[in-house]
Amino acid sequence: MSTQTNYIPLTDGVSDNTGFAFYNVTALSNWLSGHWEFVHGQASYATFSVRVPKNMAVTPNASIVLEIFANDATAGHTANFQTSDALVSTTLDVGSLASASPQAFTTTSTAYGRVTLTFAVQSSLIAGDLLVVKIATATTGTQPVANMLVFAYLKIDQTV
Amino acid sequence: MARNFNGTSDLITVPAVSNALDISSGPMTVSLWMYPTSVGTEHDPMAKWGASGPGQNFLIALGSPSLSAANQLGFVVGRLAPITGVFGAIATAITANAWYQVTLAVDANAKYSGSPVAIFSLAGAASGSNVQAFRENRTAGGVNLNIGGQQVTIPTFAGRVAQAAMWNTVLSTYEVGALQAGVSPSRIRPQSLVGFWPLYGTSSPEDDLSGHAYNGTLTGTTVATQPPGTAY
Repeated sequence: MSTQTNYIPLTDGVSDNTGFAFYNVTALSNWLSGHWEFVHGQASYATFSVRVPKNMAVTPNASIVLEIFANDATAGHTANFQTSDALVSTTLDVGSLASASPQAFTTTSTAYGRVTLTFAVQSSLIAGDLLVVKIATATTGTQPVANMLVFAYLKIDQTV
Repeated sequence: MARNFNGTSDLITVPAVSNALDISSGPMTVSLWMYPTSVGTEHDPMAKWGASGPGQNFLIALGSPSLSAANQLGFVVGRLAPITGVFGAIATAITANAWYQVTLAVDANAKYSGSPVAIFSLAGAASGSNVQAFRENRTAGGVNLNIGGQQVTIPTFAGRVAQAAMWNTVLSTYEVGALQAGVSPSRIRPQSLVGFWPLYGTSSPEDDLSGHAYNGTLTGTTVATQPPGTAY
């Protein structure tokens, strides 16, 4: 038996009603990127869910990882992101989601440069349960000049 | 896939009286892909509208003499007469045998604009938009929603329609952009989606996949290929 760190995509994304968080497809040079998109300079959120794997390690070291990209080649533009989560055990109608501290997405000098933000999962995970995750962005910071493309994962240690 | 309409009698009729599709006030958005095979006389791809009486909600019309030139796309929200509704047209030539994405968004509460507006957008083989100040004069009941035509007795659409959808909210320009990029309506604000007819052509009636089951009754139509890049 060993421990392996895996990335499980968050699924079943639904936006808030602001119209500033949405699923989109962007035609890049050589492929079509399907992703969740957050409008720059606007506060919005989307919610997702992910199944906690049955073979979660005793110490799962769980986190929510956001890989964020923007078509902005000016380094230093920033936008705050924050994740919140709650565990569904007996009811889907969970209470308040617990929030991790916000972190800044900062653009690089490369258009669509890859930036990874890692947020600690706030809930005490139980193998096999459903984790509800909210991803929010805010208007704070010197905003990027383009929308932010977000890929979201549950990073977790599993016993294999 | 899509449904092909013969321009004379083919139609898909959806119940839209006293249900969630019967939007007589507030924000709404309508979206579809169309592939006209005939341009030059009036062929209307989607409507919940009648020339008179209650239930005049919206009309998307290709080549309506009341709204546009013969090769242009026009819209109405509410009544045309006797109370003047909101109407306009996109001054872009529509050509036959090409796919277009059409969205009509009614921002009745000025959520995204400084004042209430109706925004009519076209993308695909040609693009354009028309924005009109909005005033409410829609009425409830009356008529059903038709895909591939305005009313049974009025010339129907000649060509293909796919991915028709309706929301009881106004979508942002970003979300409209996603629809134009080929994203499925089912992925855009599903909590506000009151009707979604992909028109896969695999069942009769055509399924409404919004969760409301406002399925469309077929009169004629044949199965045709879908718009390019709408598999997202």
